[in-house]
Amino acid sequence: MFTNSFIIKSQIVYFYKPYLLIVLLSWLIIEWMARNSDIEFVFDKFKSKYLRHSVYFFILFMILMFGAFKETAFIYFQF
Amino acid sequence: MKKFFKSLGIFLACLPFVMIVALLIWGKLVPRLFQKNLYYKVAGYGHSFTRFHEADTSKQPVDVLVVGSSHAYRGVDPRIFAQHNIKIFNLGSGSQTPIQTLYLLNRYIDKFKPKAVLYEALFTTFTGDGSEAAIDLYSNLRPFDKQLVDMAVKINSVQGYTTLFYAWLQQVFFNKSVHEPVKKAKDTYVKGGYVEREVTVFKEINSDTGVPSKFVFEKNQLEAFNEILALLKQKGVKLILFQTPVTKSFFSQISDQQTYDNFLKDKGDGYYNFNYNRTFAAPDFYDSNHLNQNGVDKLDSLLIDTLKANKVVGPMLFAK
Repeated sequence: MFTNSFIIKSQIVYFYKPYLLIVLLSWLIIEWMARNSDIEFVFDKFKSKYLRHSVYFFILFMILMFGAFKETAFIYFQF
Repeated sequence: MKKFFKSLGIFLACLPFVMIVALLIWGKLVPRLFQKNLYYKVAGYGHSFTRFHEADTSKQPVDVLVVGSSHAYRGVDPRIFAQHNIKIFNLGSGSQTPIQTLYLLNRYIDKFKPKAVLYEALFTTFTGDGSEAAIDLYSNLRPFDKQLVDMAVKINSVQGYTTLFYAWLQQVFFNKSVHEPVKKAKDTYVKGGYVEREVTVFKEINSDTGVPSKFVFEKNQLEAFNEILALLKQKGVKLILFQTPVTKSFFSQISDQQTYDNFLKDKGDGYYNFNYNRTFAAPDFYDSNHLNQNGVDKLDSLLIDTLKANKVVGPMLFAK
């Protein structure tokens, strides 16, 4: 179904986007937390209001840092 | 319900402070590979930091200000113009679009008091949103001003907002002095804003760039360009537009260059598309669209001729 070059290209793309690992790990953790209930009740697991708010802040910040809002190809920015 | 709104109010009130701290920690401690929407890089590629620092500290007026993309700051060499008693300063920056050009002219035109502006108008700069060039300015310009914020709002990209805000935080909390080496890899910074590249010759001169696309203007860029025209008219500064030569494959990226040429040809006091000039050949380039020093020598002597001629000539275009 997939050619070798497709698989190699996919691996290269993922190799250069290590932040995807964070996203995948986060989803695995959320899935694990929601293993005995529906996913919308995950936040109920955080009993402390401060902890719950910290999780909200974290999610918002992650969206800001990793969200795909407008893809622009940069030519000169090299890190 | 009252409890919910109280909780929401506290959350929203804390949000900016938490975001500031999180952004600072993220930018300082997290590896760049994990900074997808944060592009802050001071003194990076293209010597922008040194160029704008020199522009900010310079006290001498110039005859000509050069603006435009990397084709400008890698193509217009102040040393060659100085041999003809023409003093120039090159304000070019990587992928610079009319939005950044307008900002830079507003910032520096009264300081440099030029008689003319040499505007390198690469066709791709009118089709993009200008994010990359804006981020270059956010990272490398000091001090900040309100117009940079206006630029971020105009471009409206998350990468732009995060980088602008992070750059501002850097200046406020960690205002440490930056030293950019004059020579970095193959690039050497030359006083007056120019970057000289080690002479190499591009090999894949006829590489295939795929199907050419139609030229489509970005609305914001057109608006900014019109503001540039108005500003220069108001200041009584001549405007010479030009395109540096690029390889055939790069030039054929768009199918309707003529549309772009027709758009530019009556906008200033002269428009010169050096892609129609047969003087330039393969050994003049170091990559698909940048001239090496041999090519720069040729281009600049042509530009000097046009500057001299332009005291008398009106809009004109090199014939195909």
